[in-house]
Amino acid sequence: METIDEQEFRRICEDIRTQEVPTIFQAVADSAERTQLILRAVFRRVCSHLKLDFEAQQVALKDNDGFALFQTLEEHMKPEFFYSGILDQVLLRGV
Amino acid sequence: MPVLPKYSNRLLRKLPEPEYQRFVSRLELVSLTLKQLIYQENAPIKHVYFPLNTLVSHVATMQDGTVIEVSTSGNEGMIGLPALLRSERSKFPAFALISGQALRMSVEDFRTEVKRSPALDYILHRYAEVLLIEIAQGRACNQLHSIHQRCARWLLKMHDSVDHDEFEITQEFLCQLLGVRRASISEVASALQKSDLIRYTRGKMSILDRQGLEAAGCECYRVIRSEYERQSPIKNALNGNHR
Repeated sequence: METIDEQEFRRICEDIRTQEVPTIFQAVADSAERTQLILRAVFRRVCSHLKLDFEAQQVALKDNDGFALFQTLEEHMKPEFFYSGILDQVLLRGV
Repeated sequence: MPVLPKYSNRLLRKLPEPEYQRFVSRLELVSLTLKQLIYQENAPIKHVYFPLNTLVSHVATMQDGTVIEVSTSGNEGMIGLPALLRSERSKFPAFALISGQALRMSVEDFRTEVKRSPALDYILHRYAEVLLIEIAQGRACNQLHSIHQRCARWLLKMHDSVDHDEFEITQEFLCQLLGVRRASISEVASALQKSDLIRYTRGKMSILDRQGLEAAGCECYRVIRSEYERQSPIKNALNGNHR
């Protein structure tokens, strides 16, 4: 099973923050929609890193939002780390 | 006239019916998605929220990066209480712990409504008192009771808030609620599952035995719940006792 560590997750989040979040914030005003789009973008990259099929993972976890991302992280992280604070940096800062 | 939502906020339900109908019709129904930020740390409060079937958690981040829950509110209360207390800001960031719906209103409209409605003013101030009791009781619970008991208390609170036997909650969020590491959550969940009180698989929590879960918990859940349910008749309060 592929794994992800804290540094790898931080790098993914930083890439999303710089590459995709500004566009999302400019295009979308609604807070809930922004959160969903950002979490989905992070989830795609995490699935790519873990060599998981993004859509299949959503179906398996019966979710297409943040929960699928969080659960995937918890099942594949090694060693364990707290992802919530790292994600906050992406969710809080649009630019 | 907007259609009233399927779920209720138990705090607003304490209003006399005509006032309830009028006030709720002025609120906007919104969806809160998991991890959606409601308030940033020390940011101005623009809206107040009355959760319907969701749970919102205020958290504190320590210097070492540890994130821990400081208060959590569901459909028994509201988010944005500082606005009632004439504060402009939320000290702690707040985010949705469980996806669901809430009713919201701009802080300006909220303050106008509170001024014009003695009943609303009363129930909100009573709620502020109960919230203080919950935080105090929670502090005693955290110091004195086992992680198993505390976990049972939190699961009961979540069950009350979502009004459904199944909901999603990751281990990390349970860690934040209980102030423990993930290994402890695994151990507690395993014990509760062995007792057939819950089923917890891949982040999906199912409450199987509500009564058993209450028995497994400490007295704190009942103490807090009874405070939320205890209420003086609003008529008596409005006749001079609440100001």
